[in-house]
Amino acid sequence: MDEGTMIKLDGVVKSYQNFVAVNGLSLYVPEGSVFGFLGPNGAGKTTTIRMITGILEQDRGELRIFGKRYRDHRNQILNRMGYVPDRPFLYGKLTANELLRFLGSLRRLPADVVRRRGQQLLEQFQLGEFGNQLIERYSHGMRQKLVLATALLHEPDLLIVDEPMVGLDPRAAKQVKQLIVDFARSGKSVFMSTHTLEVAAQLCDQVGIIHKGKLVADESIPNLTARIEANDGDLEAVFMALTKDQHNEDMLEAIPR
Amino acid sequence: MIRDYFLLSRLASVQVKNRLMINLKARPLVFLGLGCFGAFFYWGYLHLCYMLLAFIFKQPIYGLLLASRLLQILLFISLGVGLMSSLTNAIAHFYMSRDLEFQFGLPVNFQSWVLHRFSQVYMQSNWMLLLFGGPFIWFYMDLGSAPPWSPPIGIAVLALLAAFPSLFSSILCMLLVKIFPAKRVHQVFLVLTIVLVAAVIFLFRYLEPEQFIGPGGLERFRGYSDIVNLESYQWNPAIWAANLLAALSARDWPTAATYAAYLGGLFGAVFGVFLAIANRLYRRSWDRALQSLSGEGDIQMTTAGDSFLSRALMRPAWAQEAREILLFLRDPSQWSQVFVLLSLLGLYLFSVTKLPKDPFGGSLFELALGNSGFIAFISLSLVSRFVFTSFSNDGQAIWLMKTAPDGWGRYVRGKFLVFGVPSLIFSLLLNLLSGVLMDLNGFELFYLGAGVFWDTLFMIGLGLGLGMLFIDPGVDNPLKMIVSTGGFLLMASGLFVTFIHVLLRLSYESRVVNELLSMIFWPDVQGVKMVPYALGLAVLEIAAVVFLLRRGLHHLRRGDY
Repeated sequence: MDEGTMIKLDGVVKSYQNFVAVNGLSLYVPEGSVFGFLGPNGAGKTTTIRMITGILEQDRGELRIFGKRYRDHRNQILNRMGYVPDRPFLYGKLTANELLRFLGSLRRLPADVVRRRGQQLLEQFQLGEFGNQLIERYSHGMRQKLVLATALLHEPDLLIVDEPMVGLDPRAAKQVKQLIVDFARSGKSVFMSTHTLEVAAQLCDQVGIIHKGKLVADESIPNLTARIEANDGDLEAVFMALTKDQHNEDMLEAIPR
Repeated sequence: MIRDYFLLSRLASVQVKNRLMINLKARPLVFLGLGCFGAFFYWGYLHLCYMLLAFIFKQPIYGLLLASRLLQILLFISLGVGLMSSLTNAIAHFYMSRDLEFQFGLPVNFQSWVLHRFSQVYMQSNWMLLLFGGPFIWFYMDLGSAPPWSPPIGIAVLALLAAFPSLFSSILCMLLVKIFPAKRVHQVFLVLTIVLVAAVIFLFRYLEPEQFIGPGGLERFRGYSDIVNLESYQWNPAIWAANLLAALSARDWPTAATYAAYLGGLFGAVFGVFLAIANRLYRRSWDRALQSLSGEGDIQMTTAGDSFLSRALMRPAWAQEAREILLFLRDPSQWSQVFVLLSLLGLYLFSVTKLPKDPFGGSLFELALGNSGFIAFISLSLVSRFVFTSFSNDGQAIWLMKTAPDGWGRYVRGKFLVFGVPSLIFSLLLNLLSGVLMDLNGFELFYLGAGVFWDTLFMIGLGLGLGMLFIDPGVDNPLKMIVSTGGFLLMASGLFVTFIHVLLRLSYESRVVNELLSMIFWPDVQGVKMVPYALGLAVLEIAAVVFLLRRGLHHLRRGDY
């Protein structure tokens, strides 16, 4: 096992029929860090996250979480991982309390722990009074918060978050940022995909930029800051330069101004 | 206004076309097969329809009268069926469609927008009526002494008649949603529709339609139509339409003009009321519906918080089963299906009591063996509806299962116990009840029960395997899965195997059947000769189910869906 490694991808490939979504991706996330995963729409971020969370199986390459492979240690890996998808699809006909109980059971948590911790998380995300209401009645933001609660229920060592701020109000967004920082401070790791460059710069220790299924940059924040400074402090310019697509550039040039 | 209406219609038709093209490109062979089957079926229907009407028209003296009465009955029933279908469609299109918010934001004329929605309700509710009723009326006009230009008028009358249930339903929806939550109105309509459909099926069965076939059937139908006497429903637009068509057919122009005026006048009046109510109420009632559908309205407290099932969610061994049952119990669309199935069970048992005691010279037990095939068909429908669709029914929330440290085997076990086992029990119960009604003895009951048990277990295996292999979490309505490629495969393979099972049982039991079948390359399976065939088939079936289950589990694990 690789000591101190939370996630390790080595030459991972994933295709959908004729479309290669992730093409030989290799990256490494150390323990106790916040890794920001950036890239334009359709770059392969969500597919990568789905492979890391065990939702999808890679076609080729090696993927290790906590130094272990899904094929041999699926349940052990998932028991130490929390996942927040980009869209909060949940069972609408269950209540929040029931969903937490159900997920607690699947993770073999004792009933009293599920009750206590579930209530604490619902209170933390301002959902305490809605715990016995059907999820189908929840707004998008409420569902997003509930998904966060489900991801934290079993106190995971690794949190995988796909677009964490989407649908959250400013208060909740601030709370999530703080949660990510605290989570990493306690020696655990976060793998976070985001479109918001400021969020990445603010929270991450390291960022990886994916473009057309390939990693085009894997930088520590000091390195990235140096690059940004070289570009007159413009993070967006760095991102645009790294994910430059000649075809798109030509199209942009062709548009009359 | 007209431009806006056509723009909106084009938006809808492009979406339908795109969906069609995607499916066509993804599965061209299945599409071609289904298209050929549909065309063949429709061609058969047209022929049957023409032959039936031609036969009735040929009857001396009362041929025209009988055909006109048949037309009256059909239009009368069409109006009722159209109403049932329009009720659920109207609320879905006016209040619950996903694109409503987007379309409300478009810079289009409000009236044209309402008309576009109404057209969708109309088309969705009546396309089948127009497809099957249209040719019937065309043939009726063609075979009667109507002028050659009248068949298209006949179709137009049917189209006008079909608008009444859609208009009435749309008006009713707008009035009700102004007062009650949209979701509740939808559920009430759904249940009401199911109850009405079940009642119609029961009524139809109660009439014993087999009495109208064979010698003297036409006479009995005439007697029946005298009893029904729809002439007394002179206020009903279906009777106006039937009288108008009959008058056209008999070239009775004054009567035709009178009924045309009745129909046209009523349509104008109802359409006017619809527009007035839409202008006054629709916008506000939609606001209310939106509020009740979102999380900000009055949120209903569930009483299940402390229930047994809710507590069972905390027991790791039974959490999957508890979740499945809770979701099933809280979904009204599932319950309406159960209601239909129970109605069909009642209908089936009623039919069993009407079976002749000496069928085709064979024994009652032979008939019961044939009946076991019918039970297997019902089991297949159950498996197709509940077991096969149960995987797609989890929808996009399936990511919770994919990321849970719980084996997929337990997830599939939950599906088997909650949907498969009740299907098995239902089939055995059906077998027991029909066997008792047919006066079978204990051994015969057990023998048949073992057969039905095997048939259903095999189908459950197929349903589970194909359900996993053809899972589609993105489908908006899991019932659509029944007509997907996987559903088609399940029905085709299930029916084929059932057919083979029944033939094997019958040819084992009956020397006559065995000899008859031997003429079509069927082996001799009398006595011990049956053993290798039965064992061989059982091994093949077990291998097929194991293969499908393994492939299905592999597909679930890979997550490419």
